[in-house]
Amino acid sequence: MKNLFSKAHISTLIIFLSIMLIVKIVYFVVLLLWLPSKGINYSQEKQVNALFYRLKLSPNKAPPPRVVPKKQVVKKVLGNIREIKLIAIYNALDSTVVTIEYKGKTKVLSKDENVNGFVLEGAGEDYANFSKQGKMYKVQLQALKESKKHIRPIRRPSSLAKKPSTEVIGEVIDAGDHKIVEKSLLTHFANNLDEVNKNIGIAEVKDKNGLKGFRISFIRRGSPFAQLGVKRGDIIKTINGQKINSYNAAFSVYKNIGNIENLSMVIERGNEEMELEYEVN
Amino acid sequence: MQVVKNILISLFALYFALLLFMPKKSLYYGIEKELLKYDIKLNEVQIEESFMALKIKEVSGYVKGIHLFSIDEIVFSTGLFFTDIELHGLEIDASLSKLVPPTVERISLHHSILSALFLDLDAKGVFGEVTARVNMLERTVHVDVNDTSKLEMLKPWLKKGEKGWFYEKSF
Repeated sequence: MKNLFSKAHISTLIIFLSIMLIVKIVYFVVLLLWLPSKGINYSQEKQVNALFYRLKLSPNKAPPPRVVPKKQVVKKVLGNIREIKLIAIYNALDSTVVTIEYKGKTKVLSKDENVNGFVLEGAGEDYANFSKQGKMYKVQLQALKESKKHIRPIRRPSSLAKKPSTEVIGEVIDAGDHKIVEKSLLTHFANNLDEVNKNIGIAEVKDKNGLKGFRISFIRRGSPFAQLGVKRGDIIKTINGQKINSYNAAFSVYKNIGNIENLSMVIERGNEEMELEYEVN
Repeated sequence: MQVVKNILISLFALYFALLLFMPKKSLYYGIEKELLKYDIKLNEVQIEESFMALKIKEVSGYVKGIHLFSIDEIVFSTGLFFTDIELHGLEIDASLSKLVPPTVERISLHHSILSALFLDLDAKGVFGEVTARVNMLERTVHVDVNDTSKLEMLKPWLKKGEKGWFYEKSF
């Protein structure tokens, strides 16, 4: 007992305890000054809404893209698509050129050029697509019209489209007033996120209230995305009623895209909001 | 003799105190805060603190608000001269399965002050077993594939060397 409380032992104990105390104080100061005392408890956003589907009572007759005027009143541009006669089409991998007759004059148009506000969007084997104020117009080749061929959904020749690195099964079919997206195409992209990234780029768009939507930063030419009618610079705002105002919402839509039967998308192009509708088959 | 004894006792006390009083939870919260800068958020169900280790259980990982991965358990352990981080049961969202392996059974990271500029890593998952070394001075990562039976998944990223398949990248 006497040995236990010897002066040497007590001094050793004091050194030991002093060092412990010093370390504790140092850690306390570090904790107080630099380290957080609470963790980040992230509560996941409320589950995004189930995607709604538009019921179409008349199959294959989806309404044309609807233009919803936003803030600015959209100026009505005079002119009729019937005034444009399609004379010739040149379609290559990287360019589309058409020859048209407009008010008795012949003009050559490249993609994205316009005549009387009708912008050339693309062309197929025997037709050309024009857009004006968010509406798509299809003009049949004049020679075909004269030979009284019926208007029918035309499949874009697959040889014209640049094939992505892995085989894409399915395509987007232009049925004139609306587009049909093959289900297998959606399934393919739903299972291959890397393929999506190769074909289309999106970037977030923020305003003072947070994320406003996602801007299309690029679309690979010839890819199925290019045939959807969306353009670089368009802001995707909703998909099937789901507001795309967070990464979680966008990813949730992406994860469910393989199970949908109709696709409706609201985009902002310039000062206009447009609703694009697709049939999934 | 008494002086030597006191020095040894002081060193032991210091080592003991540094480990015992280390604010392990707060250090983990610090890591969470750092990850937040990259929009990565971690949610854990349970945190267990012990003398030399910190166990984080059932971690859910969110990247930009998207629940992308979950980890059964993360174990941080340190003896001051070395630090180990072990991840068990890492599962990555199926939608990314074409980009990264969907499940990783175990990832071990080891850092020792004896080789302070290197970080050693080994992992086991659906891709087989790999060992890796990060050279922080040259800023390179070298990964060696040990188990070639499940190599197909990783092959697009690998090169074949004299010792077998490997992956190398500088950062």
